[in-house]
Amino acid sequence: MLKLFFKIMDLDRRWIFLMVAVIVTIPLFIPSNPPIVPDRPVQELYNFIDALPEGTPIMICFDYSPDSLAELNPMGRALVRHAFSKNLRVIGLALAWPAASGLGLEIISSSAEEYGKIEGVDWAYFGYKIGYSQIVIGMGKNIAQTVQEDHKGLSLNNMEMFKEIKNYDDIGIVIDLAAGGSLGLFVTYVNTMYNRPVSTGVTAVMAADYYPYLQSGQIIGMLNGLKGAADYEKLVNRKGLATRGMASQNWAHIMIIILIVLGNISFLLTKKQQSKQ
Amino acid sequence: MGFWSVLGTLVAAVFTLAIFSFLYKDNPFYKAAEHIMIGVSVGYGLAQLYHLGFKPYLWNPVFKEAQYELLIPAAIGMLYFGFLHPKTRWLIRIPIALFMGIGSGFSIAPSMQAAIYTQLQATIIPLWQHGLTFGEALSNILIVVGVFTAIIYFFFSWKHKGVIGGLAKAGIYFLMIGFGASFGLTVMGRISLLIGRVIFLFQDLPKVIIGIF
Amino acid sequence: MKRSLPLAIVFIGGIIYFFAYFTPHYFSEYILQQKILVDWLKILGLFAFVIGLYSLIHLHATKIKRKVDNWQYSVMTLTGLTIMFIFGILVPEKFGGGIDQGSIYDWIFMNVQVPLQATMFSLLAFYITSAAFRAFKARSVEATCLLIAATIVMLGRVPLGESIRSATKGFLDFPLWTQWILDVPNMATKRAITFGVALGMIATSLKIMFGIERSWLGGSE
Repeated sequence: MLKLFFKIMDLDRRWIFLMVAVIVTIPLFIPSNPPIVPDRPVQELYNFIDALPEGTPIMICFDYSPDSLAELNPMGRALVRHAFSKNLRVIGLALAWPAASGLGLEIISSSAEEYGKIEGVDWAYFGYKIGYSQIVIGMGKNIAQTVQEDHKGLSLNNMEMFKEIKNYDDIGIVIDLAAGGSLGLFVTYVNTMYNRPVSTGVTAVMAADYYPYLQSGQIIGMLNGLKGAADYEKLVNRKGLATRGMASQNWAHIMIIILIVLGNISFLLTKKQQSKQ
Repeated sequence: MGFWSVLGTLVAAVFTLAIFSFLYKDNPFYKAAEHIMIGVSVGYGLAQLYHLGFKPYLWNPVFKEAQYELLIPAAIGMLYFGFLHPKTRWLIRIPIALFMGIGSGFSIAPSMQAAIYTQLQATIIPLWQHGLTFGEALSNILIVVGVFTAIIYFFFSWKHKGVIGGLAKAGIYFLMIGFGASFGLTVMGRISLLIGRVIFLFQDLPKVIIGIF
Repeated sequence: MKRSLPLAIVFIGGIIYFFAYFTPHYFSEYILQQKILVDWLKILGLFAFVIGLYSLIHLHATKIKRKVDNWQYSVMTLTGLTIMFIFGILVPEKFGGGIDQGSIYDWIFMNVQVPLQATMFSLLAFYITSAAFRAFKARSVEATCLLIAATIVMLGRVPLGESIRSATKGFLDFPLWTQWILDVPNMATKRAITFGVALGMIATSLKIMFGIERSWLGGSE
């Protein structure tokens, strides 16, 4: 019996890969309604955006590449939908990765179509802007002068929207959807230097690092990984990719915990055998 | 669904499977997909840079708005090309020096304020006062103790012996709990990325295939 | 000259911009911060990209020229780059060129680059599971702390945690425990690390400004 157990423990890792694939796939075919209760940081961000007066612009910076879109795209979509449903205006841009340019545009333009919002009046998209910290610093002084043109090459000075939006002072909140260290830049400059509200949606891998900023109030709320996205989808009452993925996430975690327990049993048994010998 | 949309989904599926084939073992399909990815992503960045960087930052202001002073940073930027020849390679130090000097000097004060003063201020919290529940007070005490002991652990100017050793040991436990939380979240993040691809392969792709027939 | 000029630029630039941050004068606000720091440096950044591009092309072109092992893959890299360059920059918009939605460039991005990159990183799910199974062992008290915290967080972040909370009427409250772990011990340690990182960055910035740290100059000349 013990031999069989050890044999199982010594399985080729490709069997584990197969188990992961099966465990993640099967829940997608079983209709379920997993309970999703929004976290406190998600609720805080939702409440802040919800309380902004109609017409207030919010800025969303898409700082991720397709590597992390499974977690961050649903966040972006839920945030933009929330903003448009509250008649807030949305400004989008990408600073950290050129590849985020297309992702952010797709999210904002498709959501704008859903809510009948007009580009240049209700929303604007700058695309990828090289310069990173220079752009973040410059937008605090003058957005139009810093960014100059939108993703279509239209001058911001000729846009209806930017007649009354000069810098961060005219923006309700700046949200950084980040898969890297870009949030530090927003906290340092937008929040500390210009004293404007900042929030974030981050990949689960990085989320633990940003709790100090949450506790100190330097960021208002935070969306943490796929769960954060699913929580926001729940709050805006629009089930999306994140909610669809939570059942698979559930089963994958159960499997990993079982594997960790089995691994530890095997470790203890081996240790016991070794001490006997 | 249009022809290009269907074709796009099928192309995406082929590339997705090519990458997944690596899980069995390294193979030419994976290698091909990996190399195409590098080329396409650099090409994507290049075109973004041209349309959303070069044109609005330099070309249009200089040639349409006569902002000739922008030729100064362009000339300094051209020094990057110095690296093409061993004799002029040192010239790239000049634009790098400008970035480093200006960046370092300007970021010191706000970084200190954001990452040190404000964080320090947020650690000075009431440990016991009217209105705090026992749980809240305990959490506040643990925050202060956790920050202090974790700093002690990273402080190597004194030997970790006696009181310092004890505090550092407590710091290790806090750090391990913190790293455990990070690990738990990392597992979650990695699985989420897979879920995104599985949804594409088993939910979005079949819809497109059914649509063809 | 080759070393002293860049060192002088770093020193003077660093000192001027350190004080510029505190100076609410037109010259500081407009010329130093808006014009030079923002408008000029972002132009410099454009040229920095060229180095990366050149290195990539040079590396793969050399592989092809020398017909090293697997040189065929380098052809694929350069083909991908060239196609994106042609459709993104050279082909006019009326023929499907440009970078807007609906362009060929955008089609390739959405259907080639996005699935490739997203799938590449999703492979990590398999490896982290295998690693958790093989290496995540309670070998010591410290490792056990890590293991327990990770398990609580893994349970607390998925719907199962909510189901257990409901089933046990709040007795086993994994979501609450997860939030507490993230808010208290995790936050405290990450703050300590933040202090260390920030102080290290500031010290390095000062060392660069004052010419003590010179590794960025590269080479010996």
